Amino acid sequence: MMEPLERQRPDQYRTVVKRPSDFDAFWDDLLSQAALIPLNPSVERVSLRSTPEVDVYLVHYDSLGGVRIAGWYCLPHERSGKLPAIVYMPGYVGEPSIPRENARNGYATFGFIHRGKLRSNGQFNPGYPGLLTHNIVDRQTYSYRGIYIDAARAIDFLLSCDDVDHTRIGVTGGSQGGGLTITTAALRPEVRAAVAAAPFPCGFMDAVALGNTYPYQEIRDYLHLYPERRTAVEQTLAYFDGINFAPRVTCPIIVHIGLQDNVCPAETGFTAFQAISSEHKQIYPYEGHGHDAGRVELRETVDAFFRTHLQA
Amino acid sequence: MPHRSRPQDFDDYWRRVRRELDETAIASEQEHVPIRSTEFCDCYLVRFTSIGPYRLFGYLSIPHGDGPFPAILAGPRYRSVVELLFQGEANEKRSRFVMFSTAGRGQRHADEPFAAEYPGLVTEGIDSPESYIYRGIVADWARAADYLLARPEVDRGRVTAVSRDSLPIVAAALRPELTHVVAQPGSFFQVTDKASGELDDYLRMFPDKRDLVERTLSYFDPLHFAPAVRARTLLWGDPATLGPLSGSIAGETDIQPTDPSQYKEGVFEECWLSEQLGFAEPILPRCWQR
Repeated sequence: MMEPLERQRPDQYRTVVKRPSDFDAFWDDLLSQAALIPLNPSVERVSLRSTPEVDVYLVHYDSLGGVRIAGWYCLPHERSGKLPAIVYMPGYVGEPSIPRENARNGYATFGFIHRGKLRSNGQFNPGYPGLLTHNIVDRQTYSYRGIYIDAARAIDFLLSCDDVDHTRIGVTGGSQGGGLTITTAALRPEVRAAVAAAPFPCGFMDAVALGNTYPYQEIRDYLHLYPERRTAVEQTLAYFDGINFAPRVTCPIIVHIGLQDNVCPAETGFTAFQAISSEHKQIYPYEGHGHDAGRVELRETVDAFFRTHLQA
Repeated sequence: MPHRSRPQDFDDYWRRVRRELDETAIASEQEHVPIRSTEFCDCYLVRFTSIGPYRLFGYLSIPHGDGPFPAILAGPRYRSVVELLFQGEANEKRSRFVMFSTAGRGQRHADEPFAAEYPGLVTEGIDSPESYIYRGIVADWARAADYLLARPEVDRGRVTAVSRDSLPIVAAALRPELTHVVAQPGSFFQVTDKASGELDDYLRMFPDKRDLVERTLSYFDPLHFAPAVRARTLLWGDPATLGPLSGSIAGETDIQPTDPSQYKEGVFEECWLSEQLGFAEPILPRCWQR
């Protein structure tokens, strides 16, 4: 069993993550490949989930490898003109919810569902546990290669919508949704504001050493069975680590973490935040909180942040 | 928490479910999973049969060493994914407890022929108690308990049903061999806020079905199961709201208010479980050990 690292102040932690010299080239090339794939969006109103205040649509679009991606698109029933939009990024194991609440507040909202999750798993379905280590020794086929592009193309979906103001798009999410918030803000300059809670995956190998819980435990399990593959695993993960995407994030961003996070160690959230390039970044570390990252306490701040950057 | 009236044929309804379980061979099979096994436990994929008949799935962890061991049953939850261990729990808990995490009908690995939708599961067949999907899911909980209780590695004096909904209460009523319960009754028969949203959607679309829905749900109100629950019980939620339920449970019951901090909730629950199951110290995630 790997020995845990000695704990220190999480804001002073020094990550083991190294940024590959061709990191930007790798992702710019993938974005170029993805741009050649027609989006082929379909939008179907779902009467059962629509309310007098909010129209709900089940959306599908094409992504890398021809994988069909789903999502929940919500619009205020009473609307006029172009709307600001927020993409809600999903967690690792939970079910993506239908983001009706902020549609009631005047946003176009999109609850994105990446490949491998229910409704987006017809062509790609490694399962849970397993998604995190699927093809983990090959960056050209690793599961998150497609997932990050799926998320980036959620922005393309919003850009295809007549109701959306293309200059006022935000992203948010917690846990894996927090990580996807960072990667999407990094890959898509159209993102104007972002809120990431307890971001995962950031600092894959840091978390493997610092923690003992799933989902990062999947990597620990893999390396326990295949210790000889450690170098290949580390080389792959460097291309998918949220910490390495962070320097590309230039939009206003909030990161909030729990200092007793038992899923995403606080050290990894601090490290990702410190690597973000944006001049308008703020971190909210919550003492006495775990993977909830203080979201209840921060709710009003987040609402005000999106109002400032997307509704002004 | 508003409760629904107890149907006159409540006992008959659940007696029929128990009889169906009795008449259904469990037909279990296990397959060792090297990648999820460690130096302190072995992991198995388990397949077994519930009423229908319907083939179910579970992850079973058995500690190394001489048993029997206390056991934790994490039955079907409201999500498509079944986890080997709840996200955020210390993997080393598998060195102390036999842990059985199962998928009910509709969840991954148990999604043929029925693949549940989320949202959608909570209202599947809800117009009648006979067709309601949770009739089967409750049976799946009981069947998972049957499997676990039959394992020779399990200490039958320490078997806990855990889920952040009301289903452990129902399971403990159907299977009084379960000695401990950790549950979080919420809305209706009390799954999650998402579940409540599903009901709202359904009744908005089909307002004329309200009486049918209410009748179906009355068979699943935990209050009606409570007198049959002898297990030592921890309920998460508002003490005032949970008072009637707590007072009706036959076993000794604690109520712990929910907290926005998952850390505080998690530490409390691990300490409660450890104390109840006879351990001086809980096994906590490393990030909680500072």
